[in-house]
Amino acid sequence: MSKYYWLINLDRCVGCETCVIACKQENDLLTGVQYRKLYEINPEQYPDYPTFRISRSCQHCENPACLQGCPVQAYTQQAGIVFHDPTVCIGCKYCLWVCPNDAPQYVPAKGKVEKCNLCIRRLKQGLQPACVEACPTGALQLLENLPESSELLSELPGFPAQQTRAKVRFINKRRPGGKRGEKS
Amino acid sequence: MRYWHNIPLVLFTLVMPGIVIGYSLNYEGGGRFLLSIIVLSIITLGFAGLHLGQPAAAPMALQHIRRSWLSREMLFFTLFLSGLCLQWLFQSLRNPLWAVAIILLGLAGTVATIMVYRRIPRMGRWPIWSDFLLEAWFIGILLGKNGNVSAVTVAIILKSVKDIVVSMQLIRRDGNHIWILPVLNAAFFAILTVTLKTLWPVPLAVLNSVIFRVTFFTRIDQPTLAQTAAELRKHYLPAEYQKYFSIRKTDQN
Repeated sequence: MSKYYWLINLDRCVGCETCVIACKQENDLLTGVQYRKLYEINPEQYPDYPTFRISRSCQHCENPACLQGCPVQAYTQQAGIVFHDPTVCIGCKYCLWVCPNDAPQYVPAKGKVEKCNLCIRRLKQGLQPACVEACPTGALQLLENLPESSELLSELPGFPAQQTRAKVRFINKRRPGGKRGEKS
Repeated sequence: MRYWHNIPLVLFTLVMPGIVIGYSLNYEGGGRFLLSIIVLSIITLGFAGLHLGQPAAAPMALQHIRRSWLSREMLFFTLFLSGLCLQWLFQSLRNPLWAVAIILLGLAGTVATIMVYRRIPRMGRWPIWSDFLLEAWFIGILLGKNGNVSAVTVAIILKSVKDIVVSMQLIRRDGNHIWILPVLNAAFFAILTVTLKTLWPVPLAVLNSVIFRVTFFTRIDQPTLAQTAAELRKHYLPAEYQKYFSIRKTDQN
């Protein structure tokens, strides 16, 4: 089941939002719809404390809350990817509420929900998802199999995805209380 | 106001459980009472359907009863309404056995409603069981015993107790003392009702219920990463600096 994992390197992300734009272009999204969002913690870059930039989209969880809660079974899970079928969606928005990653997006113009499908069309052609390919610093990667590595963190403090077993790993070498840019 | 789209659900979560309790308190109320709660149920369920992006496809929501509390909620309330309609149509079904069956379906629907919202991660600290059940009793007494002044007085006092209980739980879990306002409000209602023996607080109490529930749905729409930001601040920053830090989400493109 578990095949694809997002790898987010918090030390490399510069907040350029190229991943956000690449995703919008690839999926031809309407204004106001974003499958991928960038969150900046400490955007004011207060000196001596780290700024975190977390690029988030659907984490294609192993135990997705959206799949369990959807009343019309619009969600399916195949090869580790959680797919949403917009043809059966009734736009109840329950998946928006239960998703711990704010992944599903309600599109008022269509009255339905949409979300990231891991650029399955590109994956079938042997390409990386648009967001991964666009990232200029290599901060966002898609791992096909999870390597053994002690530097990969399965969680950030307070990251709300563990109940659904989100398929995401982090690299973050900045220590608590350290200066911005200093690594342990 | 950006949360107008949740108003159908505010009314649904207030009125439907209240209808169940109201019916259980007055199941021998006769054809007129039965018709009135049937009409109210149809209006409430229909209004709740407006929350959907595709209201005409609402019956499809019964497909995932095996795992989805939302499907179960719709099933139980549909059966509850069907039972009421059959009871109104056929005199022979106006007996305690049928009434108990309908009440059980309604209670199952109420529990399903609570479970729908209980599974939402960011609502983990909201005392949903006490909020929804006590509010159902308040609305239910108003619907089922609206001609009985003593019962309505009890309903207002119950509403005040519910506001105090829920607000105190929120203060304890959230650490946010803004919730002291409903406590003071509730105490004011209860004291006025009991000392002046008047029922004029009823509309205000109902309005208070609506505002409380709107606050509930306001929290549902908040992004989840606020919790991560708070945890990261605790982890990396000394306490005296934490208030200066914020989280920013990219503006929508």
